[in-house]
Amino acid sequence: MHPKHIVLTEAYYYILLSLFKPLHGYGIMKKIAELSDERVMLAAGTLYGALNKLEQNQWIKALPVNNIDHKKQYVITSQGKEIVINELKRLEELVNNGHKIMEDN
Amino acid sequence: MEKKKFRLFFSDKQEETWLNQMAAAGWQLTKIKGLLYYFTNQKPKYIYRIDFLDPKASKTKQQDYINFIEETGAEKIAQIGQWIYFRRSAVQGDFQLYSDNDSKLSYLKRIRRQILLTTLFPLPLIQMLMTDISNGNSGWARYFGLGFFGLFELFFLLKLSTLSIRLKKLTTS
Repeated sequence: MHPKHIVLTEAYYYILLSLFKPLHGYGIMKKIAELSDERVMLAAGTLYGALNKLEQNQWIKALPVNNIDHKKQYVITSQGKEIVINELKRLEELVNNGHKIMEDN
Repeated sequence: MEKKKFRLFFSDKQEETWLNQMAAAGWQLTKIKGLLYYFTNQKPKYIYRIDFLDPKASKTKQQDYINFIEETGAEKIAQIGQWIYFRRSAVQGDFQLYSDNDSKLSYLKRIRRQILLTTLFPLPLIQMLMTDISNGNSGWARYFGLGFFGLFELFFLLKLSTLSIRLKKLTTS
């Protein structure tokens, strides 16, 4: 899939954003709630499926299990970062056009 | 104080609603043995959610999923086959397992597949019994068996129809 034609769901976009620094499952949920001011509340089962899909796409990767609390952490890959950059461009295009049209009217 | 209740449900949704009603009334589910639900009279309220594991996933993958859910503060209270009963303290806020249509759909489809397999499973046996009876071998045991499997099939077909309605609602929203 050519990166420029991918449209991310809010959940995937926020998961990728949360993983610029390594986080485990619960951490991701809290981070997204914080980023979106509790507008996007990701449930654990949904998150699990999403993490698997993102890992399959190699947009994130699992880190070796931390021996202290045995929680699996994930982090974004360089491919994932490219996806975020492209998504940001797409969103900027939407926002800019929105502002332009609204200002003219 | 403890109490136990005997219940048979047509759907996981009904069952989950009941568990949460009991919890709100002060009775927290602590274990399940077959069709018997055991409750403890406890003040700190829990929120209960029922999940269904992917039967096609390996035991390791299934346990990995359970561990993941538990890491978010939930506790596995019971497991019956692929059915998992999670609970989380209400103090932590609302507890949901699925927050979008895609994952809810996957959940329902997993259950539907299992109901379908369960419905298909006794069909050869039912056919055998019917053939036997039509051939004149009609002891009471055969009629009893047929009646039993007839009720069995009816029960699971009802499960299938309630589930299909839920699936339809999701896909048309």
